[in-house]
Amino acid sequence: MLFLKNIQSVSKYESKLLYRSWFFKVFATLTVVATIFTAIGTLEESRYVESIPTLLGYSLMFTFNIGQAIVSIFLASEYLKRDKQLDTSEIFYVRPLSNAEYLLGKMWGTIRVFLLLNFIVMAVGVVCGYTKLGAAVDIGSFFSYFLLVNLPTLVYIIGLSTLLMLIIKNQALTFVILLGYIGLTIYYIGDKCYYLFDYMCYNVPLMESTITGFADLPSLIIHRLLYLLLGFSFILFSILMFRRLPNSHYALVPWGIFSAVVFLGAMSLGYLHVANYTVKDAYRNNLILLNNENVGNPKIVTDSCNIDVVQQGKKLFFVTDIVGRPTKDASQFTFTLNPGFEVTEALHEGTPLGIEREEHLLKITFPEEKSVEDTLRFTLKYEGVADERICYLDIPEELLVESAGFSKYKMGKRYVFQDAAYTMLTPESYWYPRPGVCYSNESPDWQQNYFTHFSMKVTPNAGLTPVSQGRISLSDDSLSTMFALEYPLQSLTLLIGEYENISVESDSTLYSAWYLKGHDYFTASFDSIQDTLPQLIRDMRRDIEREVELTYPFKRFSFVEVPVHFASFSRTWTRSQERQQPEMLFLPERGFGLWQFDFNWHIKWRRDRREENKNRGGRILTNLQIEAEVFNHFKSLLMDQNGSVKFDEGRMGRRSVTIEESPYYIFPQMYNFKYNIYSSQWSVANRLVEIRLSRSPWWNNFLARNVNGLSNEEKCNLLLQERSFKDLLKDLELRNLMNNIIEVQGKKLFLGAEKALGVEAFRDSLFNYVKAHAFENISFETMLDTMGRLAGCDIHSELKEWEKPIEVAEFLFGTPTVTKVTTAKKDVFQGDIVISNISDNPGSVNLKLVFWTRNGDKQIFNGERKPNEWVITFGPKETKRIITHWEEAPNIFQCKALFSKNLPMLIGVHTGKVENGKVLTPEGEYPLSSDFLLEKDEIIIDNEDTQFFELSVPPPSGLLNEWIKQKSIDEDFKYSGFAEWNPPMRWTMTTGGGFYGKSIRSAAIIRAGDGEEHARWKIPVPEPGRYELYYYVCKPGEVFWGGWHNRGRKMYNFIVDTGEHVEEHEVNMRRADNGWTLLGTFDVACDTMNVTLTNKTKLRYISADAVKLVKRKDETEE
Amino acid sequence: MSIKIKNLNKIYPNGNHALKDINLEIPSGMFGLLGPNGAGKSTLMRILVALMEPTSGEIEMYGCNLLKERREVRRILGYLPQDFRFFAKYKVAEFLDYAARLSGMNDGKTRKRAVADMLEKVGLYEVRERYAAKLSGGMKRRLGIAQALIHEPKVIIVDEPTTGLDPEERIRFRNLLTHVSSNDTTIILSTHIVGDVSSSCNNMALLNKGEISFRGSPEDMLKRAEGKVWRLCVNDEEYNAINQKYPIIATIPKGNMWDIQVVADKFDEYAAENMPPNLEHAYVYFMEKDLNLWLND
Repeated sequence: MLFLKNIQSVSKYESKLLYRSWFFKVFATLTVVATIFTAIGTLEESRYVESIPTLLGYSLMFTFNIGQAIVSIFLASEYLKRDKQLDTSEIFYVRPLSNAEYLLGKMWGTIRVFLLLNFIVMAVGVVCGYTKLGAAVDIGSFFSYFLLVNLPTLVYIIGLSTLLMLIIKNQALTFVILLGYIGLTIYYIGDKCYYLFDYMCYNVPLMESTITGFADLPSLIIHRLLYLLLGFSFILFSILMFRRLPNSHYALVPWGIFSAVVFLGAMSLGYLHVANYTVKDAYRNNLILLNNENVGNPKIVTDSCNIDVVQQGKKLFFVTDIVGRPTKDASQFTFTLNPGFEVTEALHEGTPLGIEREEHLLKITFPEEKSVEDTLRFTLKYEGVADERICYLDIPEELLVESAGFSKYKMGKRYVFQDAAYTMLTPESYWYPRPGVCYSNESPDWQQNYFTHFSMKVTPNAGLTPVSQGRISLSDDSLSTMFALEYPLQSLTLLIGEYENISVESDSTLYSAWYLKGHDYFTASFDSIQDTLPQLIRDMRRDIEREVELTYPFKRFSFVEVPVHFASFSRTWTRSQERQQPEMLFLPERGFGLWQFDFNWHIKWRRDRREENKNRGGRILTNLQIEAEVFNHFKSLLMDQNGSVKFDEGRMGRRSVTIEESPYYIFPQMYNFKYNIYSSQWSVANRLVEIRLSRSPWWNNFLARNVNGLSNEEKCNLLLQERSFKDLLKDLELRNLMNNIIEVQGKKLFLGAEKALGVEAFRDSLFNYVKAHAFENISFETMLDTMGRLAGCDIHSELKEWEKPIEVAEFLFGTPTVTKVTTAKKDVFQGDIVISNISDNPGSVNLKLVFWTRNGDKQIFNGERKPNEWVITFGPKETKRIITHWEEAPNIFQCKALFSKNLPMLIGVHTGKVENGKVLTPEGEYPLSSDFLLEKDEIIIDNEDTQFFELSVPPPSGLLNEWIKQKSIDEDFKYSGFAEWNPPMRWTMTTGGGFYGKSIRSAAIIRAGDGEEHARWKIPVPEPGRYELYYYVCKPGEVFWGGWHNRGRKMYNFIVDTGEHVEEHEVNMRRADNGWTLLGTFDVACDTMNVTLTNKTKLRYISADAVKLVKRKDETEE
Repeated sequence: MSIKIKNLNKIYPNGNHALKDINLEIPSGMFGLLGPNGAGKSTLMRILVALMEPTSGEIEMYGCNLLKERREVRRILGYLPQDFRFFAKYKVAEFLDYAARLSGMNDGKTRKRAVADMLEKVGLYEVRERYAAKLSGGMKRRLGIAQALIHEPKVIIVDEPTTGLDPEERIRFRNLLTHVSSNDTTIILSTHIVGDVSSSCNNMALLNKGEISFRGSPEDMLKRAEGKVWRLCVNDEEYNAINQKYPIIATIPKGNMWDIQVVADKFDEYAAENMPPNLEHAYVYFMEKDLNLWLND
């Protein structure tokens, strides 16, 4: 008791000191103000908090936690500094209290000050929340975040700073070190080692679902307990380090032991935290290994599957009747079933079958061998709780544990839910036996998207409702729900929860919204359109089907609300993600994070605009029209192909962008769940055809090219030149590029057929072939043979090329011209361009003529529609002049060098002024000499000429930065993008149509400076004489920007060394034109002329591209 | 004896031998520890209040071994350090309350009463709500002694308590200590101001260069210095000659001459008048005296 009383006494007066300090008063005031502003900001931010009320607690406690982590460092070290400075402390040191009592009292005094602040934040947060959310404000979440985030952080940082202060004995140094530590953990270490070092939970996923709570509470508790114990151990170590004689010689021994035990406890938790993930990873690898070993095993293709599910508490009990056909003659067949489910019995016509279980693999042995002709029927009984570790074996562990972010909120990912109140089992969890093995990284033969006739009966816990695919009916006792399907599906999903639903039937399709009890925030928003909903849905469906060019095949479509943590990933072999299942699309709880679901806001906004329009006399929308407009937002959700667009500011000013696929894009419902093109050799067969048939948004490549410096297609071209398609498919690091790689390879596969039939005609044929095989399993190889016969070429044999890198061509493009020729009948515009393949490989160019006229892409010539885009093939070292005739003058020749070394692949060249001509050259391709486009009498040194072009090397940056910063995938490429407002600090190669280059139009970029960096062209001079020196100008965007800071001279500074003289020359980038600009005329006597461009400029960056040396004509003549 | 010090040595890590084989017995009452700056007084004080560990030796305080039973010793100890400042944000009463709490006065009512009584005793009751940092120098000293006395300790150690105080405050402070020492309490007054010892201590020790050069009562010390103090009038030349050989402890100008007081065993070269010593004379005499010779005497 005395021990506690002494601690209490010290803490009381310590906290009194802190309360009375100006530092505390300022911080407390700022805290209250910041909390109010943060609360207002959080509550006004979209409708996040309305979807998940716990976010208010998350936002406020998280924000305050960062502040307290910094301030507590200062305060914790402050009292020790005070103790050190004043002899006054000695009057306390001579009291009979122990070192532990004194120090613990001091720390508890500091901690209780922050506890008070935490409670103030909570109180302010609750009050602010109440004004907006009313009773929905989640007070409990404030406490859970306080306990999980703020308290461990506080104890840890106070313990750490006290201990450091005692060791270092210098407050300023301690403060700087700890601030550095905070910065390091936030900006560099981040989520490394599974968030192990993230003591303040800056990156740890903390979002709490209103349905299922935290994503991984045990792991979170371990993590936070780790820092709580570590903080305690530091505090205890501080007692040992405290410079005051203990009450007796042995007084510190128990504390020494205690601190060591607590520290070891913390370390054990750290180990447990990491092991939790590494063991999971090892387990997953083991599953893949098992799959690799068993991928060739005989399996049964299930024709029908009847599942009877009974839920008892958390556990599920299954009885599954399977009818199927063996793929091979055998007696043992392999299935995959979630390893959390224990198989209790397998029966075939009343006879028990042999069961072998190896983790997730289930091998069923029949008494005698079965042939491929046999139809097998058997019953399987199993029960248990699903194990999440089987999900997404193809996805790297770091992606599985990486938090998903919405605004500042970090969210954990979950793939399976199974407890007494809520269950969600998607096919990825293998909750029913599926034929063969699951993901194998050695053979694509694991895939099993065979169509099966499913039926299911579910008896849930009392008060819960099951949701799945199929027509719903209730059993006589109303305890069970039956699901019957009219068509085969590739997979089945089961959800059980407090689901309620509303439905609308339109054109024999039932459209439903399944939401959890109390989550209906939307029906009131659509009061006025209740009667018109079928028509709105019909119109929307018609629009979608027209745009996708496929029909929706099912009799039902449901939006199903699922916990916010549910996550899905894009896969290399399919466009579909787990977020979509046949007949259903899963939405995060209350539409969290989806702008389309902020119905109230959208309706209010429109009504407000209506009022404004009324005053202005503009168009007035009725309530019905407004609600209909908002309802139609669903279409944008279903039709948007892109999900999140992530910009990444990489090293030293390099930039990159990653565009993720939207999991809500409706396409899989109309393609992937309806068609199945399979191949035992190529896992991406279905994907390849799917990409060929869908139209990806053009701006993806545009955005990637502008930001990354290379379009995804160009990256794929570069990759395919080095590695085979087969090899690339296995590379998990290339996940984000895989679509593009498949797309490029698909283009190449069908290039011959497209040339033979025409691009659109071939696409139509492919569409028709696939459409004729709905709900069937189509062999990829058979399909290629059929399509090849149709086009009169051998597509199938092209597959052999997928096992080696592609050989590419290299093209030069001449300057196109347009000549107007007036004939007897009318004016004809003749387009003329020379294209040269300078490589030893054949290649193709996609040429498109762009018309800035009313007809645009719909050109008519001689009364007939004339395509303005076509493919031109080239043999090795072949040069062609292409002549075309038009009724309107083309403005741009857009040349896309397919499967080539060219960068950028797509060049758009403006035609310039239309000249008048007298004679028309007939349309066609005319051969020219292979060196037609090669320069003569000019010496051009480009930045790609490594022999004659060099760049300065800046000193290395901080080692810590180099060590910690992870390499991004974009750094594997020679070229990258950059931001004009934040250019790279080191020379960075980038490409663009405005730069000079034969086939690679590139330049080296660096941030402006004082001339410490330079690029140098060493031009070999063939003979002494008088030469003109040119520089290739690509004007930076900033010379076109307005604003006072962009006035003034924007010069490039050159130093020209002729061997005899060194001269400085400037080029004013504001005045210069793009292209070759004369630097000056020089008398050169030696054999090399050095031209140096420094980074001394008032521009933000400089680009080093190409220089040209031309002998003066009079000199040449002489 | 309330405090026994045996063979106490303190050698700092830098090799400075601050205390050399100190043997001392301190009875209850006021005990003065006199010595020049750097003599080792503060080192001895810090060892006595368990803030510092000696290199060797033993200390017994009211039957408790200081080196082994620090908690017990700290219970009976009150300490007023030399350089005493305050946490700026404590009020007078709070500061005293804090000290009382840490001294084991856990009962709230008793403590409150004790704090009020002590504030009355030291004359600070009227300013009990004032921040301690706002007190005058004398008030601060009084608050300092109040915190040392609040738990009625048996041993009170005060280190240079009157430095910087005006004469009135100094007298008031001395009287306060003398008053406390009458209650069977041991007060160790460490000082280099001879007047503080002479006017309040029954016993004393003289510490010089880490060694005890005298122990006993102030009267004993005076006796030892009897016949050793000389007074004479000298001119400049004589003054300089005497100053080179003897310690001159007082110099008063008298016309063209100097009226001086000199401490010396023998002073035959000049016509000087022997005068009765005061404690300051005795202090100087002992400081100047060869230590070994004196002890062998």
